[in-house]
Amino acid sequence: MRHQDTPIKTYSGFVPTIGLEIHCRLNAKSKLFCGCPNSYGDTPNTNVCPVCLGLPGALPRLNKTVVEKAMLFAFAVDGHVAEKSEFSRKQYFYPDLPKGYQITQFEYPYCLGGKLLVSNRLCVDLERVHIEEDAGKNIHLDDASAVDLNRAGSALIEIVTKPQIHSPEDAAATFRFVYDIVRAIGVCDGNLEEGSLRCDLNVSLAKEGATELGTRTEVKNLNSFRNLEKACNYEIMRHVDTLLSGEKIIQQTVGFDASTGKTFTQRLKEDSDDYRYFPDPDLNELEIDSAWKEETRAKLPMLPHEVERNLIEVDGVSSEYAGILKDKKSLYSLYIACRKNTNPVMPQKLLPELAKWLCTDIQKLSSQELDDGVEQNQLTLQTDLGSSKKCKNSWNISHICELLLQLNSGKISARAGKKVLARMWDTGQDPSIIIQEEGLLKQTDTGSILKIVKETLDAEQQATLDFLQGNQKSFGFLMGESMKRGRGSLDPQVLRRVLQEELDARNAAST
Amino acid sequence: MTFVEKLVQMHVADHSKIKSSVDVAKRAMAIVHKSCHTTLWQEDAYLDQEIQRVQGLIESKGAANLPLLGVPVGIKDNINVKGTKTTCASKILENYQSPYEATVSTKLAEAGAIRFCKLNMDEFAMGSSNENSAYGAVKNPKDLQRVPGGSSGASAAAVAGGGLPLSLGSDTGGSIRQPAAFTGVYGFKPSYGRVSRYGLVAFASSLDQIGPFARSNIDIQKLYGVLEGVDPFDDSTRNIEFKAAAAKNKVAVLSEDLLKDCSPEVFSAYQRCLSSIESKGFELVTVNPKGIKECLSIYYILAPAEAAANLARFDGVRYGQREPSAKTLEEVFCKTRSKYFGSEVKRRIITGTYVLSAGYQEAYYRKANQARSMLRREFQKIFLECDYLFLPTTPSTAFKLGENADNPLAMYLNDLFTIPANLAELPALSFPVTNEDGPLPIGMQLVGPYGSDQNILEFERSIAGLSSCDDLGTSLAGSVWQEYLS
Repeated sequence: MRHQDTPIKTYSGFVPTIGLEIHCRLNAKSKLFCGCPNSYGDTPNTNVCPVCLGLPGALPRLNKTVVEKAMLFAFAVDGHVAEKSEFSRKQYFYPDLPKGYQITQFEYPYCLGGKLLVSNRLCVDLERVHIEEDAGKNIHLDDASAVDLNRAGSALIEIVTKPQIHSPEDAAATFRFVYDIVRAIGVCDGNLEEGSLRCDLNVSLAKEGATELGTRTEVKNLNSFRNLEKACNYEIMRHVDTLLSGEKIIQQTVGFDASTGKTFTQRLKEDSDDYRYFPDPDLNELEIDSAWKEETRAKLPMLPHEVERNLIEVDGVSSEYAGILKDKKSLYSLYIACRKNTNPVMPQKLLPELAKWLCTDIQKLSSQELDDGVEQNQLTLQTDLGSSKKCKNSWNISHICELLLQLNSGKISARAGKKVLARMWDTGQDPSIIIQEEGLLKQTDTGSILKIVKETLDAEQQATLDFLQGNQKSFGFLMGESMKRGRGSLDPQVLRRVLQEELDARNAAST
Repeated sequence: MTFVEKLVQMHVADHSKIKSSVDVAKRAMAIVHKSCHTTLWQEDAYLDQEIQRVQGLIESKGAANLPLLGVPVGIKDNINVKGTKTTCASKILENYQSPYEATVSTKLAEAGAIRFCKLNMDEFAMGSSNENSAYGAVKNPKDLQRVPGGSSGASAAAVAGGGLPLSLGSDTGGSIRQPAAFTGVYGFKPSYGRVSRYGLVAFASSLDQIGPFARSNIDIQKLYGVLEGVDPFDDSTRNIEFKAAAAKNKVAVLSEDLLKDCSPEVFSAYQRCLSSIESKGFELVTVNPKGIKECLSIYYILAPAEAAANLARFDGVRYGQREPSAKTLEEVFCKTRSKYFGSEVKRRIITGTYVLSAGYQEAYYRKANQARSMLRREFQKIFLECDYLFLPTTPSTAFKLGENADNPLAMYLNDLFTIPANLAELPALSFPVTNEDGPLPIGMQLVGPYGSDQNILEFERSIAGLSSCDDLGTSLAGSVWQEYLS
């Protein structure tokens, strides 16, 4: 649902309509229907048991913590959590599907409706969200194929949007928004490369002003925002070309080849399977009573857009840094830790400055360890940042707070602050000790500054002469040289005054 | 004292007797197997292990705490017992070794029982004559020309032939009760959800239930007591405390209209039983539950629908047979399943696939489910007025091998009286009664309200005199046991 004043982009007179189906692997410790670890990258077929291998006679049993994660997502998108939902069997033959059917939710999903507030001009309604089990993985070798069932039975939620998106950019933004949410609420590791979040895309084109949608095609298994946008663009242009040449769109499933940027036919509609869904007699109805619902809802953390809004409106952080903090969970956790620190307390008015330091120097120094990328375990960082075992170096929250207080009191310069920060990162030392040892405290004492100025002017006779002959630029040079001699600890304002006075004095003396 | 009671008493008194009992069972079962082709797997080394395990259990738990101490139990070959083969009497699972333990197998082990052998059956429990085994038909120990019933035919034959005191079967539409009736022993199908299905290779998951065979009500109760209970590994197990309402002293019986498919000997046996029940002070209430005539149709839609899905896992990819000539993925699936499934199994897979297909699901699968709910309500109504429902187990006595082989519909008719209890999830006991008009056993059935499992068993004892399991000594191999026990 677009804001009314936002015009819809057309393609040679056609309007694209796009719907997304996003599969999100939940980061529960165990699989959906057995106790096997839900972990990625282990030796093939080691995280398996009779249940997820589909051995004859084994029965599924629902893992309640998975349902809680699924519920958190429903709450985050304001979906309606059904009191009763049902698991069904979706039947088809494939080597990576050990039982010959996938247990999924069909007629009665656990979550109906909901909306994605992607931006202030784009809100996408959800059709439904349901829980299902993942399949294994087929591995194709030179002369054989193998099946790894470590992933079989892992829990997924499938998020189905209504066809309310009208551009590739908005499609990518919507996928991105879901990515932000599932990471923020801690239900998915967000690892796109490993397929933790995969997106299917439905596209159809209709003449501008037409009330009915055109024939749609489905692009399967897109696992990056860029590929989603590219595939979407490609399909739209393919539809446009087909329609302009007077041909009909054939309803089909296509794949996307990222190396060529093109889609290719995978399966035509007429070959499509009849999945013969029916309720799984091995599993009871999933009942979610209001007590369980409320208990779970209470665990819902703040969502990214709420975080951003609070940073700007309550803490007064600039929108640039609020945007960074919203996206970098680990930085945001540091921010919150400092904000809550009690010894020393971080004054409210310093929060914008704290955000700035976090998003610039602190992020730069710790970019490796605090990288929110592929290797990081979000939850470890979130809960245990100050002493995270994953980090070689770490930040002491109290030290950061103290440094900010020092900077604010004007006792050290910003330049000295950077220096202190670097040494804090390397050694973990208290900033006041570093300041003392390095002699970084701003010198405001006129006498000692005058002494340094005199030394500088004596050493830089040419520049002094230049200034006295009217070259103003030399003043800056002499300031800098004096600063160097004072190892950056001179109060710039005092220095400027003393230097001016000394130069004036020398001028007077020479005339 | 019953067969099991005598054995347990003997073993408690002298632990070393367990080994000699196992030896007796080996001799007796060899006789039964020779005539009836009951056994699919039995191994001396495994039995030695079992004996040792039970001896260890005596030390850790104490002999008095082992209700089935040293009692050899035969197990239908669709129940996983770790370290044994589980073939479901199918070529597709030829040589399949159970890598894990069914919950009932664990329970037997913990009760001190000896898991004696794996017993023949209709392939994947589909059949009413035990002629559908890929490893050969089972014969009725009471008449070797006749079928023992199915699908738990060998579980019935092993007990009826005096080979073993106890066995386990599974009952989806009568697969325990019909063979019990055909061979003249007790067979009990518990309420759905009272015994864990974990480890039972599924036929129709919403109907399957594991249950005991024995030569007496008491022994049925002993084994059932070990098997029953909620299992965290089976979501469908439930802990429903059954509160018996005050006895109404009324027993529901079938109207003549519903008995028209019965043979004369079964019909007259039923009438004799009714007089006997009446003479014990019970009022007989004739019922004609709506939907009971449709039970066969409902069953032969729902059971195949579930079976088709349950058997999809036998695709030649991970376990069991794979057709070596298959070149492509499609061929692995098609050739393997075409070659290694038997024809009855294929018939049901095709039926089940059809009734769930797009365009047909509404007309068949959903309608059948609605009818099932209706039937369940009908039974609830009956049990508001009556304590139990009393009816024949089968319309006729055991038929000859091959008699119904080409007529699946006549074969399916055998399940007419047993299917309702599965569809309505109710407990049902089949027990042998005297046949005054012929030599073959006849079975009668008591069906009770959901959860009344123990009450049914007690009630059957209270109307004793009806039932008549033959003397152990007169059965095929029973003299071996009788000599040993006396």
